[in-house]
Amino acid sequence: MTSIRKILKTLAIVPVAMAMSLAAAQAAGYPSKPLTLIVTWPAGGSTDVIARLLAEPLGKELGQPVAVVNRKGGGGSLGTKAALDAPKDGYTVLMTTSGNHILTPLKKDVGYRYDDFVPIGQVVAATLALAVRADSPWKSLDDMIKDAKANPGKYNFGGVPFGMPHLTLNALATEAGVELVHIPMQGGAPGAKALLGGDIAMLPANASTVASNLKAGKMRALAVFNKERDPAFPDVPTAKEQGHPVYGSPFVGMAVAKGVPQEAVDRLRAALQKVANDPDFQAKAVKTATAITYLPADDFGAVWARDWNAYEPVLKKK
Amino acid sequence: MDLLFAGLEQVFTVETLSLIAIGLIVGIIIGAIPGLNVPLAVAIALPITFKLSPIGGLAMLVGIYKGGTYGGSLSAVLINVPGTPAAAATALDGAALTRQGKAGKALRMSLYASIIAEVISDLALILFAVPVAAFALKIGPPETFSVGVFALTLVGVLSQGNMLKGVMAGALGLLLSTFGVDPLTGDFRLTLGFDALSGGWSFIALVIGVFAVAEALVKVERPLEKPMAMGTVRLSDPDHRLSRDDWRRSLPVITRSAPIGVLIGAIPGLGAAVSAYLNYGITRNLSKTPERFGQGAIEGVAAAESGNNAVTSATFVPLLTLGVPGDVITAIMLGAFIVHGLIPGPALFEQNSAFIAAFFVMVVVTTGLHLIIGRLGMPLFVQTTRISNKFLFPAIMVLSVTGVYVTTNSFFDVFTMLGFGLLGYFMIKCSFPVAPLLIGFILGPLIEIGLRQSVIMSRGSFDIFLTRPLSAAFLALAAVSVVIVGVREWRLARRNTPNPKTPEGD
Repeated sequence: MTSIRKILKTLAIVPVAMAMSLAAAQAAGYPSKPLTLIVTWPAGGSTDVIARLLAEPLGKELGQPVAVVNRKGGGGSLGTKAALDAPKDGYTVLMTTSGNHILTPLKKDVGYRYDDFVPIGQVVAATLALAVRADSPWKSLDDMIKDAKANPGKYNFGGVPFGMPHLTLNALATEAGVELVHIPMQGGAPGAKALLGGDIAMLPANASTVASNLKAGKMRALAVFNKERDPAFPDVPTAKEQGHPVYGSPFVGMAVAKGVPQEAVDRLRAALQKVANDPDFQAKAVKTATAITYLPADDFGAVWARDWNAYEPVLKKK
Repeated sequence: MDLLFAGLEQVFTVETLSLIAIGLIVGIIIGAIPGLNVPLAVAIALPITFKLSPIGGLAMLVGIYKGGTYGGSLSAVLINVPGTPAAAATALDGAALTRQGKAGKALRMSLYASIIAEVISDLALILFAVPVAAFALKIGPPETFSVGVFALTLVGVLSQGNMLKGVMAGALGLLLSTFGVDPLTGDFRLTLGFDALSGGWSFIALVIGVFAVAEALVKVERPLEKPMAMGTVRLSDPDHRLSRDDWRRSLPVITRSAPIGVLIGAIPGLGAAVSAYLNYGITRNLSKTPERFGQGAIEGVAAAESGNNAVTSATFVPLLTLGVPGDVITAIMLGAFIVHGLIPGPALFEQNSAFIAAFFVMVVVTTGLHLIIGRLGMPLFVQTTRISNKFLFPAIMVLSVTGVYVTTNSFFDVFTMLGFGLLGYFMIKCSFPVAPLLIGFILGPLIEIGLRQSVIMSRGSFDIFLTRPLSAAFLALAAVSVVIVGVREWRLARRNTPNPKTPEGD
């Protein structure tokens, strides 16, 4: 019953909020109308969930509602381009990820570069894990590498073509001098199915994609590709600990197009910093298997440049 | 047992029951309106569920899902415009029945076939989730390819008497599906210089264009046509009731189609539309009187509708047992689980039996309420046939344009939709069947990805399609299907030659 009342209450707030936003619009200063947060991936995906979790507290902080809009397609480039082409007034914000921000524009000319945007802040740096089936003989990264060295070109792995997991495992293979075969997949979930079904021997994937299978003991993680172990999987050693300093960590954060007034940029940065460091929001995010790894704007910008430079030689070679 | 009671307690609250009812009503309406679609409705409702209890929120989404999958059949039957892609097969016979003044019959069958299939799907989810998931895991890339080829051979069946034109339409669908990102390399191809095409042709624009817009254009040619029914349509008229003979034809079809639909639902990536077409095609191929199909065969409606609704619970099998969503809609629903800290997959399935029990109870209750709401709404729905086309089709045009724009946020896709509308119009005018185009478009990526992944797996050898038993079995079925369809269509064509077929839309 209480929840119904809650729904009704929420509904009742809508006209009030609309009236309030009108009043606010008359007062000068940013923001004076609702904001749009563009998600370049489909609704329900990990980026979308985190954007929707963010939208409400962020809206409260800014005093204006934040509406999440999904503009998927073209490896995330359609939504990114839409954010770039929108009026540069600070009312269109991009929920940006490694995929649409770094990898897609490196692969093809999609009409933007990473530095056409101004960073607001990083929200998530996801953990990549290398998962195998529970019945796999490999217990560590070394087991796998030894086996793969003895049998070059025998073992398959899955992953979205030239997504971060694919590129990270490629880097590991190069570093360890083994030959693995990539089977292109349409996403993390189809990859998990292929691993469970035996079509591939190993799967580099976002840890949250395989979290439930890891917890249930259907899969085992050989390594994570972070600098430090992930607190959500404390037993899984990093690749570096096992003697293979290979890293890969897809980011999710917020950005606006270059040319947005500094006043709006500062306001957004302050609001994101406050929300991302709010324990209540962090607790909510952790429940979704995504730990918040907030980075302020400058550090986030540095991550862009680092990843762009790291992946440029790999992807431009294609 | 305690878990079951705890589950019952959670579901039989005013809140949860009303959320299911709201979900079903919204779903049926959205499903029935060409232009609005179920994935969009679920995506819009998703943030609302973040504020509700996990079961309450999921109850609403499952209601939308089940209601929407069924709702597509209403407009398919009543105005020959499938509200959802999965209802296109329903339109073939459902709309024919409506033209004969038997709309009530088709509506009843689509509701009852949907409900029976949902019950079977619910039971499969509850009792056989683990073995069904084990089967789904056997469907690797080679099997996906072979299933796709098998489904494609049924295109001829949907060609309404002109196989060559059907095959051409199917081929066009396959061609259109190759635009956009190469699924295996991530390279862009066939974008014709448009950024907006880098994601391929919009599926929703294609569906609405070739069905809703094209049908509206055809209707515009006859502005003064009277509505299909004058005066109140009484569902109690014998023409609107299901006879014993109708049930005799349909029940065996439903009991075959539903389990097939369950398996299709459990295999991630196939979905309700594939199930509806596949079951329609199989049913026509096995029928002793295939010539009745497309002319108002009640078992055609039963096959398509039990086929698409059987998918709706089965798609939760891979989600709950493997952590892999079964279709687009369950992929969106994943968010509703995750935001409450419930990460679907084996850990949740094996360790959180209280939640799973409540979820199962909720799914079954949703099916029950679906029957009640669907039956209560039927006398209302059937009155649509009284609306004059001059009101109906302009409204459909408005909904189509807004629906596409709301879904894709792209004017390019609105124009795409209008373009596909013209294409559909000329196809109808030249007696090309439209359904094969859609099937080709849906199956194209499955076949391409399955083929290319398999060949990488086998390091270049095509033997993999024959050495994997399930794949070989599907290819054998495909061969049988080609022979049956070919022989039958040839015979039908020969029977029809003395008096040439009158073009459609006479």
